[in-house]
Amino acid sequence: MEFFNAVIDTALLPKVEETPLQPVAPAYLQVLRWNWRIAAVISLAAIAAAWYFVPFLHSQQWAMFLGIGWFIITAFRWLWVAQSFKKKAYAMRQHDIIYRSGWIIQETQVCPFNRIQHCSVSSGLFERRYGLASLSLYTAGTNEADFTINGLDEATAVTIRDFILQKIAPANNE
Amino acid sequence: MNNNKLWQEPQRQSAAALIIILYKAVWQMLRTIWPILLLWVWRKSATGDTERYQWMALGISVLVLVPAVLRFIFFRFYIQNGQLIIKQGAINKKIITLPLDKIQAVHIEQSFLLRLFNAAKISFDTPGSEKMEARIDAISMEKAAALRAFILDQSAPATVTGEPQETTVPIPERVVLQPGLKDLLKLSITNNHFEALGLLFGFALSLYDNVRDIVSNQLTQWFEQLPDEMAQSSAVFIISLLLLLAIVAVFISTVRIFLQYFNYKVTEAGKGWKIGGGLISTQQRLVPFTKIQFLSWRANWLRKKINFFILHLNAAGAEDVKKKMQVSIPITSASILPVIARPYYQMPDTQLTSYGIQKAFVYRRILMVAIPVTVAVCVLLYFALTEFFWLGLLLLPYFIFNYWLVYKKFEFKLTAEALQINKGKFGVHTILLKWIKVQQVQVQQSLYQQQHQLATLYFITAAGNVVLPYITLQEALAIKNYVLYKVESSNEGWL
Repeated sequence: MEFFNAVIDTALLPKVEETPLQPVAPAYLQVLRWNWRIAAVISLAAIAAAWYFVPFLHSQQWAMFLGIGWFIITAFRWLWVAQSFKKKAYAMRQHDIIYRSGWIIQETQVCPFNRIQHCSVSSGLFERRYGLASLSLYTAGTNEADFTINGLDEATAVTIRDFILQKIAPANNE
Repeated sequence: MNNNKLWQEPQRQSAAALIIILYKAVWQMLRTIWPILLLWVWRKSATGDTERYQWMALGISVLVLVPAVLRFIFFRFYIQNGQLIIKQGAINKKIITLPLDKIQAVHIEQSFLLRLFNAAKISFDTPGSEKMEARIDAISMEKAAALRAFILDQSAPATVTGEPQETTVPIPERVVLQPGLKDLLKLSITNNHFEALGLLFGFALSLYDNVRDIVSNQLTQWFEQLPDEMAQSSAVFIISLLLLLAIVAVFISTVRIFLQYFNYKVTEAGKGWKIGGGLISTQQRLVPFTKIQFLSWRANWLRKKINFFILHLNAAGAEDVKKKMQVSIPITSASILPVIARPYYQMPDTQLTSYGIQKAFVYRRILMVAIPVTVAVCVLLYFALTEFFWLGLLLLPYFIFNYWLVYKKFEFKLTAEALQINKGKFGVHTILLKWIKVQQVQVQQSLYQQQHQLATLYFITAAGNVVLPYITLQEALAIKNYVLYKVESSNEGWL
């Protein structure tokens, strides 16, 4: 039996960091903005209700304190939405998929196709309005292993899903 | 019935599913709103003011029942191109695609309610299906059986899971570890007695909480005055009490060790480890070699001195499977460790370069964890004890020492096939991960790390994560690229 044990030059290995990433659909920012608006209204309503119903909070000082707190958090979330949107990008290579996300803590996830078990495409109310969808890839075992790319054009999400399913089909497992 | 065409048509669940879904929704609702219901009944009898609670109950019912009905209406399933496709959701639409060859088992369940309608619930096992809700709540029993037969006919579980194939030649079993009485005693004495004390303390508190209403006031008063009495007691009394506690803690540890490891045996059984033992309830587990995703072993300072370790086999699977598979083996001699680790991976004997984490780890942890926690504790103490609030400051040197120790002791070694991390502070804590077991790699960078070219590297496996914190970005990227190369170019079964 012939046995090969070739030397691997690690400098020549394909580099994830050199892969050009594709930003998610620009319309996804609108979805994030809508989510932000809803969260802002709900949190404001909750604070107002707490202020109204909890006697301890019945003072002008508390109203001001809660109002300023709400404004700071909501404004920060607005900034966060915009900044984190800019960071969201993905790329597909021959053997894996890359997803970058996060603003204050930036994450680059890489998932080899041969570790994916199955996929799902989902879309919420706002995503559908803008023709977008999220692609979830499921690996085995722990919950942390999930890999979801939000803000893809619906057609792109379906195309990527079909491509991955084709890659993980037993006939294509190299 | 059992033909491809039938399943290619998108199908709904049977009508019984609507009843099942509604039943589940109502049950869920009752479990959620029972305090409101109770309040409503009480209020009704007390004041007669019920209108507000009726509206509330109606609102919650609508919120629960409408999604349940929509789930039934919008649910479809079919098989297309070798994939089971489940479409669900009205507002949040979801399409689950399950390749048939990934399905390891199809479960048919019939509850009492389903039996009334001659229907069955059907669910699918894949490595990861516990996160997907891939199930059909109710289809006719006949269809369920036909669907199962069709799917199992199409799938090939053995090749998918990477389970070792049955061999025709039986391999003789070999006992590799069987701790004796002396070993168990050593294990008991070197156990973490603080854990035993914690258990004892928790038990005493819960017991006191349960019986405080029925025992005499005298006992309750004594229990509540105990801290004051202790403060006034002599040193001899306090030392005697501490000694008694130490004896009780050692006794509890001994009982726990004997309960868990009496008559314990680890046997090499062809495809995996057969592990079993126990004093009262005996458990036998078979952990296939391929299911083990990474190994870790620990020893506290005392156990390190006598070469005793607890080896954890971190196996793949859903939470319930992992509970069964996650096994802690007491290694009572350093020579046994390589024997048990060998089927997974054996680190080479040659001297390997060891790498460490960056000093920034200590500074950042102090800034982001130690200082905020210390300040919070001081504030709490200020409200509780006023003039003794400064006691909280003692936390700061503890944190600093702890993080400095982590930084000094953390080292990792790389080989072409695996990663070994050593990170015990006073004792031993080693993790051994084979690259091909990795199913996702993550590079994480905070703003600080981005500015200083540092990164935290996560290896996600089917049994949990392995982390290299605060290494240089250059190291992180090089390791990541290499691991991806190893995983993507390997045909070896990893699950």
